[in-house]
Amino acid sequence: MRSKRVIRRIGDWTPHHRRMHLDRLNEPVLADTMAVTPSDPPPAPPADLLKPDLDANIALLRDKLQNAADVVFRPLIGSFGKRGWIVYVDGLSDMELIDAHVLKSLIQAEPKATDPSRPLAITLPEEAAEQVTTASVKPVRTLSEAVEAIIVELQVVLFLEGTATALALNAGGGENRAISEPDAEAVVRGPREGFNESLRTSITLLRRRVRTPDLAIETMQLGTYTQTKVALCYIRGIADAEIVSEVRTRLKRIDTDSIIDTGYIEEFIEDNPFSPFPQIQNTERPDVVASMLVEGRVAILADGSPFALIAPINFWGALQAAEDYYERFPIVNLIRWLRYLFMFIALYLPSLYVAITTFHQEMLPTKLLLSIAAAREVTPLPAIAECLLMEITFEALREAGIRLPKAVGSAISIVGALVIGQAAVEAGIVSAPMVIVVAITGIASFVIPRYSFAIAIRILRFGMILLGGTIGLFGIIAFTIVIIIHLSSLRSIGVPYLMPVSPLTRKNMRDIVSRPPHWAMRWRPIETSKPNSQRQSQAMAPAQRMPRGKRRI
Amino acid sequence: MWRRLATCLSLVASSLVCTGCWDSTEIDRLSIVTMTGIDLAEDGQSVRTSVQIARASELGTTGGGLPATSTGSAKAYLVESGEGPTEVDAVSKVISKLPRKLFMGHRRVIVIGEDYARHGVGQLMDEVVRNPQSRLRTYVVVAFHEQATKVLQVPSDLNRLPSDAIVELEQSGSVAAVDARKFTKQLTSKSDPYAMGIRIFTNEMSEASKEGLTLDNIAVFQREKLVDWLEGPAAKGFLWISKDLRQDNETVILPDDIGKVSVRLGSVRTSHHVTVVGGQPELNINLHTIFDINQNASRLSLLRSSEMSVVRSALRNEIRSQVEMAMQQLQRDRADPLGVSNELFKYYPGLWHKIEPEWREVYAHMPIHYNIDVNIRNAGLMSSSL
Repeated sequence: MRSKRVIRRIGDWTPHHRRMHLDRLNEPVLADTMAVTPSDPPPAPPADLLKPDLDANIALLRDKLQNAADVVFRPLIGSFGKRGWIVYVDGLSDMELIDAHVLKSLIQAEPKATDPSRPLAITLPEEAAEQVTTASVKPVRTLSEAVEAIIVELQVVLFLEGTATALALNAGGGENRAISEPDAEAVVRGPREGFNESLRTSITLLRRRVRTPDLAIETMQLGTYTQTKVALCYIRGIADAEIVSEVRTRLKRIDTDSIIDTGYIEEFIEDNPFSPFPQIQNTERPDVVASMLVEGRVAILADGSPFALIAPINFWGALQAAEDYYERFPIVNLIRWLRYLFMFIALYLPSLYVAITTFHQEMLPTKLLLSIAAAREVTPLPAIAECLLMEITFEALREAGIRLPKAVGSAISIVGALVIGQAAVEAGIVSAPMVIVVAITGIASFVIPRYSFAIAIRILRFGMILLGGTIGLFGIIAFTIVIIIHLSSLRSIGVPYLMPVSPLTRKNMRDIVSRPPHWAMRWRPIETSKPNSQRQSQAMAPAQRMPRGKRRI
Repeated sequence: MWRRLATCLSLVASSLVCTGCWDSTEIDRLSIVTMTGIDLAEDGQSVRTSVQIARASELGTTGGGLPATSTGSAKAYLVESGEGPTEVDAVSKVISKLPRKLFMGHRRVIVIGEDYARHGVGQLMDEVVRNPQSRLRTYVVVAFHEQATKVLQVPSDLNRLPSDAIVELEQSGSVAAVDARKFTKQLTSKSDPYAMGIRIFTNEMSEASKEGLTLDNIAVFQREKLVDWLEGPAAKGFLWISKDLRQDNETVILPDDIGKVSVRLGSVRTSHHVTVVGGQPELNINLHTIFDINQNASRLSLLRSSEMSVVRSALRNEIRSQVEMAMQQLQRDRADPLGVSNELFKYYPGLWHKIEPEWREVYAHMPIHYNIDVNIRNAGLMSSSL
């Protein structure tokens, strides 16, 4: 709690605790999961080492994996005359790959004409490794390593007679959901691919968009039971090293039994866990992640979740949709302002209605007051109760609509529209203006592109209604001040949440108040891309690239 | 942390239960006052205040999407009145007769009965300005030869609330829109206030009600007391120079039986300033007007500038006679709604302090110079009348 009160300047965002040093960044990182990785085997306890005796190894392995009925043991005799076993998890490896590149090549391979003066393979595992035609081959020397390769890495492990080294072959595959358009973040114009539950596929989608060796993908395994593979992605040279190392530290600190979805990770690493505002963005769209990466932000992907996490983010990004940058800028400007307006409506309209009609009737135009008065003449509940009733019913309807099967969903909307909209008004339980207010508020909260941010607005709306209904506009203003104070103190991975408005950075303000054309967006957000903040040259401006017209520097 | 949170939550929760603690008033517990009237009571001393209250149940849609009653037939308002020694006291008498809280926040018109106005409106304006609920944008009108209570009872054929009709009349641009702010400002300055008169007229054509309300005539005050009415051309003459007129149609009868021409006011710019000649103030009134031709019922061909100038001079003479009439009457009444004394005080404070004791006499005999300029902008597509 104390650390919050420390005032830090712009150049000093990283939280004070466990600051990692820059040189950590220069360590070699896994370029991709597909690549062969030279790795020194960690010193293992001698008892765990594999023995040259094949049958003993298999017996030990069978003993270890006796509860895993889906592990397949298949014996074989290689073309080089040795017995062997391959072990893999059923259904999680590509069967065709095993057939063609492991079994066939081991059993049926012709002896190769090799230069006797320069023997390629000296040991048996190396010889076998040459025979196998999968892309990645890794030696395994201990039993626990073998188990990990089979169960966690989902590799095919080849044991051979007469050697204490097994080979872990990458034959990943198995069934995955096809790449499809994300439902929650649909666009009219723009790419329609979405991440899926396979980390490999998700990273592929990302790599396809950012083809630079500077794209760093660091993998780690989190969750003692799930051993979920988590990838930390950023672009070296753009991303602020301190932010990257802070995210890495926070990820490494996670010590839990399971990571089922990136949502788990988000709660473990966010700066203020009690804030209603999300400090880490989640998205299913690889194009969003790619654009965030080139702005210097960091993405976290995890196996088993199609949602990537993006950090650090700011408040204003919640009102920017992916499509804003694919559509021409004039229309986007209009829509962006519409979103700002509707964010205020989503937060304030019901509370303002309650406060003004119960405390500040003189603020309404006379005719509006009279029609509201006419509508309220027959309703039995006080305005605040009426408002809460309607808002809660609306939230319940929305929740019901999400959970129900699609076929029943339409029934809910009909019942909701009829019960809330018409019958309640006709029965005189609820006044018609209140229905309008709740409906507009509902629409307004759907206008906010980032779903998790819209939830924050929905939560705060209820606080607003209570305060507006008890102490009027004073309560609304007081709560607004509380929210602004909270937002000002909020940080996302140490970066101020209201950046670039507070602290004010003029260079980046343009993308907040408007959507400048791409050629005018010369700078990356300074808060995330300190080392390298120029996005493009100034020569992109029309005055510079048009054939005629005044050349201005 | 948790204790603090729990305290906060319980405070909020208890405030929901203790409804008496808040200052909230549901809309359906208010009686929304649209118009008030003030009269002298029969005894000549105490005050009678009448309030016109909108009946919300008769307005707008209440239940199943249909209006409760059709427009105009059932009265959408009720008038209640009370008497008391002071204005506030009279209002509290009204409150005691009503089940709901009296809400003055939407009072749009204050009608002052003529008798009360002649008695003095200072007390009333004091209350209006002090009352936190009351708006300074409330229009002030004086009932012409009538009690304010009567005015409040007259329905409007077009509007469900007569107050709406009066507000629309005030905002039409062809009368002097005087609200409480302007009225009090003039009352507290060196000059005198004025207000529009409201008159009940009988409407034989109307099915629903035989009476209607209109704003004509201008009530002229001397300080807080009504002294005279400007009527007909004199009222028009005053409007020309009081900067209130924005919309007007004028018909001039041209000399020598040429015919008549109607014009529509395009724009009017008016100013008045005081000059001191030989130690005595003189008033200069400048009026620049631009008209369009509305109707040409004459033998003139208006495309010719010589013939157009006939219309112009006739129009100028007419306006001049109206303005002169107004100023002569105001000088007779020794009332200064134009604000001449203000100007004298501002620009010639020495002179003002010297003549202040006998200012009204000086004003009554002050020479006035008129500079009236009439332009006719559009003659229309047709030169002569069809």
